[in-house]
Amino acid sequence: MRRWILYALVMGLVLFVSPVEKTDVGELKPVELLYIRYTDENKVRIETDTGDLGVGETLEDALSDLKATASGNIFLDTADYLVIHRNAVTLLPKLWNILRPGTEVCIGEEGREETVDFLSAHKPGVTLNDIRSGRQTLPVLKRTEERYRIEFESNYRPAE
Amino acid sequence: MQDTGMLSWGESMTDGEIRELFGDTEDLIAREIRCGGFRLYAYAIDGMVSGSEMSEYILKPISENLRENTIEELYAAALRGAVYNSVADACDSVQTVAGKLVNGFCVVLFPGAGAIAFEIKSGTRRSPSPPEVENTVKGPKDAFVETVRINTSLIRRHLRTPELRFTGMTVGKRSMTHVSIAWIRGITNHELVTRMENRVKSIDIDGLLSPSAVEEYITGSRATAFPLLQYTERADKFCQGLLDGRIGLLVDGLPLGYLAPADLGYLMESPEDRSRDYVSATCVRILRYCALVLSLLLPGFYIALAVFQQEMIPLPLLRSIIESKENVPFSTTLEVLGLLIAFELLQESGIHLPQAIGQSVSTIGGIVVGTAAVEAGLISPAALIVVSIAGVCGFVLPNRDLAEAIRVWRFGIAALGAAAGLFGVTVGFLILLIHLSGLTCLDVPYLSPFSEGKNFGILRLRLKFRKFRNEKLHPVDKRNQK
Repeated sequence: MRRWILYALVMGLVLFVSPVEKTDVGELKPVELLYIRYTDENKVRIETDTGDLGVGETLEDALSDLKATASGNIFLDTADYLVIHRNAVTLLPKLWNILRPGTEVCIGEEGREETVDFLSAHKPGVTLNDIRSGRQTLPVLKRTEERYRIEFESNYRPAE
Repeated sequence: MQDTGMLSWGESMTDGEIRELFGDTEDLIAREIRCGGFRLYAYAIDGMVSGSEMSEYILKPISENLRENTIEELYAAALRGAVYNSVADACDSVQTVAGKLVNGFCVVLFPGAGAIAFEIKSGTRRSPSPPEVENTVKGPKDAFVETVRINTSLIRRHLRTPELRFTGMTVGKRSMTHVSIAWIRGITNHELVTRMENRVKSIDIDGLLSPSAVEEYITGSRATAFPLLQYTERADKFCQGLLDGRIGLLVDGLPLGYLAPADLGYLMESPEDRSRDYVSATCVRILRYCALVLSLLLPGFYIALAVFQQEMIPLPLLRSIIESKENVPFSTTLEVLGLLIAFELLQESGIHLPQAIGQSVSTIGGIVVGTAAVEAGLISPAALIVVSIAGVCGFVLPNRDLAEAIRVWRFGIAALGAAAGLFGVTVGFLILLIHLSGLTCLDVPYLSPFSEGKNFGILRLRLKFRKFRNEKLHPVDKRNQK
């Protein structure tokens, strides 16, 4: 009997001292693509393929805004692609700590649902981890006459 | 009393005493017989004895063969074989007479000389049939029945050694159940036999009628859901246990044999393991252990990942889970725990209903209702699949008692997973390991097959390499082959 009381105490302890936060998988809004750029007012603007938007003075502010205004619990760990505007490539080092290292990156000027379809078929092939390890080139997503195309831009080195 | 050369302790027994013992019960046959001018009394319990054999092998020889001058001589002649019956036991007290009567004997009272019990048991008993639970494709098909003597004969057919011993005892003040301890002299450690005998002798209850009564009293009713005795309905498995140096226990009225000590390794063994080649048997055994882990941990693991550690789920799978849960109104915890309860209910209903209806209920409940619930968006397919896999894996376990213990712990670990994610699942698993490490049966640790790390008790070695018996049992003869 004493043993079972001990087990119950341990279980109680686990319930109350649990170090992790609870979010049911059903409440998550998985993001597949993020598009980040600086606006004309020099604010960071984050758009997602789910149609959610976050704007802020810094990347952190924009992310907080995105999470606060999204119609669900935004889950960035599912992001497969990051399309980053030329004017925002300096944010890449910060994004290493926010997104998965395997998130594929390209430079582009828009991030829409059809962009996801294109990138799924024609993968950029460069991940955040590659850039972190010192890769010098980044693919560029170009759009001409309603068609996408990926090209590589050499001698690229994001600012630390 | 005239010296007849036969010793009798029951000469003071009277007809009235025997009749009084059974009162006015309708199934007591009491008959007065005249024999050479003396009055004898024959008693039997209707239904327990064969009427025709009673007439042929007791009443007829008494009236034809007994011609002595005194009652003592009649008694002695009957005991020496004038009444031709394979078993003729002198009864020394009214209690012995009662014991013999309820065990299918006919007792003849020679007033003033004693009483003799002749065996004429009724032939109405179930014959050995194929095992219902522990079926094998190639193995023997003889399973235990409710009559302990038939079971001992089945064991004798498999083990013809004269060193096979059955120690009989009567347990239960009212049920007077015959319990037989089986062991092999020269193999089984005698201390184990003595301890088992002491345990059986110490049982002081009205009736030993159900398997749980046997298990709880023999094992000392430990606070655990895990079985500390291994049961089997197969005579060959029982005999293999005896050859390994274990103790067997047969209880009259139960179509089972118990083997002790039991540890997790024994409980995970299937009779099929010895009917197939060692490579296949080892593969299946590894699969069985995987099933044990899946059955125990999968629901808790799924809840933990879905509620706390989503980043650990591979992305395509996570997306598919999220999509499948889009319209489900319940949380993952409620879904999985609810489905586990529904699964248990279905299983219970299947057991209590007749076999044909039980199968229909399982089909309707499992497939039709499950599919409808998924289509209606009440549960997600992922949760249904997780619970189904855990349930099916539970059925893979060869011992039902072990599977039931796993079912109980599965709930606890799932609840801990819902409370604290993988941290909770790990804590639950550690508690279980601590609990199992503390269990012993006749001083053999429950996890002993895994304690030395030789083959982790999982592999089925080639029989020719298994030269030694389990040393944890301290067998008298440690080698089983050269």
